[in-house]
Amino acid sequence: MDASVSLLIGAFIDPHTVMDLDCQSWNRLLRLARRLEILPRLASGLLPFDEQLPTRVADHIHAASAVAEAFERNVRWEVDRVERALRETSGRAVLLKGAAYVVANLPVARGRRTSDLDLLVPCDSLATVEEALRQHGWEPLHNNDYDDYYYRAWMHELPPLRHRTRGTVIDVHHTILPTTGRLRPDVRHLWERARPVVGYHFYVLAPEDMVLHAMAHVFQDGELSSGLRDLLDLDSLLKYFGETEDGFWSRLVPRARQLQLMRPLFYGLHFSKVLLRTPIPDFVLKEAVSGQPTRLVRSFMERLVTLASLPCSRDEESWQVSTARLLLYIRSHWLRMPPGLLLRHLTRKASARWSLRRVSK
Amino acid sequence: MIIGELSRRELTRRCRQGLAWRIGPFAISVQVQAPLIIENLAFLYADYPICDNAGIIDAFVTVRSAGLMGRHVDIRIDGRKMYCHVPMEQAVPVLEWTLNLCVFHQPSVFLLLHAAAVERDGRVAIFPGEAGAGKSTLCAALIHSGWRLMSDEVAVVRPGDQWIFPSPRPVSLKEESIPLIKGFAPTSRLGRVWPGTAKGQLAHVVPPRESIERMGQGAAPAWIICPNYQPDAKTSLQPCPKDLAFMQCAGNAFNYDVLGAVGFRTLSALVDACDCYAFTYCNLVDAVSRFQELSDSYVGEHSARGCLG
Amino acid sequence: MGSETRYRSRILDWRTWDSDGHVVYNPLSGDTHLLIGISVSALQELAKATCTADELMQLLVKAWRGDGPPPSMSQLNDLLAGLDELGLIEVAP
Repeated sequence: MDASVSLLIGAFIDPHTVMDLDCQSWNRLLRLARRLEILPRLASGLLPFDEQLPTRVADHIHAASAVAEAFERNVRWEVDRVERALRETSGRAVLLKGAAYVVANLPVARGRRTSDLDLLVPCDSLATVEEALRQHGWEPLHNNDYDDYYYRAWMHELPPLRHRTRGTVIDVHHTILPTTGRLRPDVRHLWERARPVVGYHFYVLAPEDMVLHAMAHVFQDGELSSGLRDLLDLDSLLKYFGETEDGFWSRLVPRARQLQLMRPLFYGLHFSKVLLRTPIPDFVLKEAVSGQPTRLVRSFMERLVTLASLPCSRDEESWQVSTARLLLYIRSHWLRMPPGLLLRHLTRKASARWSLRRVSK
Repeated sequence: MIIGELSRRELTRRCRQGLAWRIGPFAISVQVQAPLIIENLAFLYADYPICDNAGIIDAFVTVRSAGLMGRHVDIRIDGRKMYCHVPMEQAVPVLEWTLNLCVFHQPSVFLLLHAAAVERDGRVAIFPGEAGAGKSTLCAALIHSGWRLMSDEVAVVRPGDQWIFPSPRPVSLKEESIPLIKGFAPTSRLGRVWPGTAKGQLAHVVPPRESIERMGQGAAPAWIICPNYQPDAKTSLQPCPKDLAFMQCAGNAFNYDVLGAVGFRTLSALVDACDCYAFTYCNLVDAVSRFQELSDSYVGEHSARGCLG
Repeated sequence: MGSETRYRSRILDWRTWDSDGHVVYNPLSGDTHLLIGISVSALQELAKATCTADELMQLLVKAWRGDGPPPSMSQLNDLLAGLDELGLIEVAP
């Protein structure tokens, strides 16, 4: 692992390790954090130690902390607006991912940039929810029929909706992984354990479900384009729930089994431990082993995930990293839809990009 | 030590590794090899103090050759690509713009207004406005008429006391403004004229030495003036309602939204402290003379000059 | 919205100077607004107490000093919808 990367990860895992850095090291650390767009996140972790930091470093930390506060404010406001739009509709709604982390006041939310709001609603509420959102100013983000069909029929969500004045995007789901995908956890289990949030009419997933959802999102549904950020999410969630939630570790693996998410659980625990040194009890790691893939797939994934998620300190992405990202992108689509659909989808996307390029020339 | 004291050879060597210099509160490092760009840096930034390696750098700019013939460059900030494949004839103005971005888009505890700012007798005039309002041209004229340059692009406002802090950089002039300023201030140090950028012809005026030497000295705000260049209009300075001046500044700020309540309170206090005007002008001589009158007749506390602390 | 709906102002930061414009900052949304005329009066009343649209109308008519007639009920309802949309007021529980 590159020295600057090691320094950066160390700063996240234990802020004390960076208290005595010289200026050159601080410059490398801050520069890398800026490049990876995780300075607000880093700043949130270092803020309690600001008096021990060199003055100019503290200035950067304070400035980035103000950005972190703005991120949180924006999410809470968006949740407020969605709640207002849905107040006439009945039925529960579960906030997912970034918005859930903010309303549940989880440490993972600090400094984390949430781009879209993700909402889980019962399948039979989709139409009323969509109507309510449209009446309050949301409109479809994509304008073409193909994308519309892709989202509704093949994926697990309404097409993304963007608010016409705020420009914010909401994704409304009825399950957590694509209905065409290889893993199809029963969403009813999630509803059974969803918890209400103080101060809001929304629910959030139970802790182990939140963790499993994050892992599924990264390792089943995603291509690790935000590699390190995704792993930092997992690390923070595991640490927090491990320390504060009674019985969390005992429930995690059985729940993964029930939701058929053993494979993403295995990857999530494995990479979190190996790359970020997340403290995970041995018995959990042992139980999770039954989710591991074949040795060949495992060594392949070790290489891909490490390349895609650990940044290199050189500015230009190496061909190896670009290749790893491409392969993970293909893998995520492979896992999302059967081969016939996949081919049609990728061909269509490629030709749409080509015609766009021709038009813009 | 200032950049102008380096031999060309030493300058080239340092630029290859990354030369850092101070611009007001900011320390920026530029790493570049292209001789044309280095030559222009030597001219535009000759009076600027070099940062030693023991300090914190706020942004790392790298200019790297792109393409096989060495006639294009990629420009990055902190490793993120900002501009790709820039033709060498546009590299200097694009690099200048990149140095602006280093300040505009970085998190800051200061309120950063998209405005020019100049100082005289311990009082600062702030000109908020987008490109095209004529603020850079007005700014260039004023700094050659006894006013000190704080900045032609970003007014750095300190929350708490609303003092303005300088980050003086070469003032960029477009098209007709170039001969206008050459005519108005024949002793001004004007760099090369670069053709064919997205904004047409561009050139940069080096700030007077005093503006650069005093880059550590902030001052109290006194006027917010929304400029408007109108070729056939009479020069006029009209009081502007403070609520409109507030919205003009907020709408032309880089981080007003991010700062939240601090942004609101700082800008409110800034507007409280300033006389606010809308200013229409058609020629620089009248404009400068009107500002001279404004400065002379200012009734208010004369704030002692302060240093950045 | 039913006529029994009660509204209240959110907690806002206000500034005004020499003209009738008021700049208002909403700490929840992070947005800043420039308000004049009846928007200001309505919001100031709703900051003092929660009101239905009818109650608010009575208060505004009582204090009306503007040129021309006071707003109609329909105009007031539009205003309340607009202020609610912007997040400056909310439906009181």
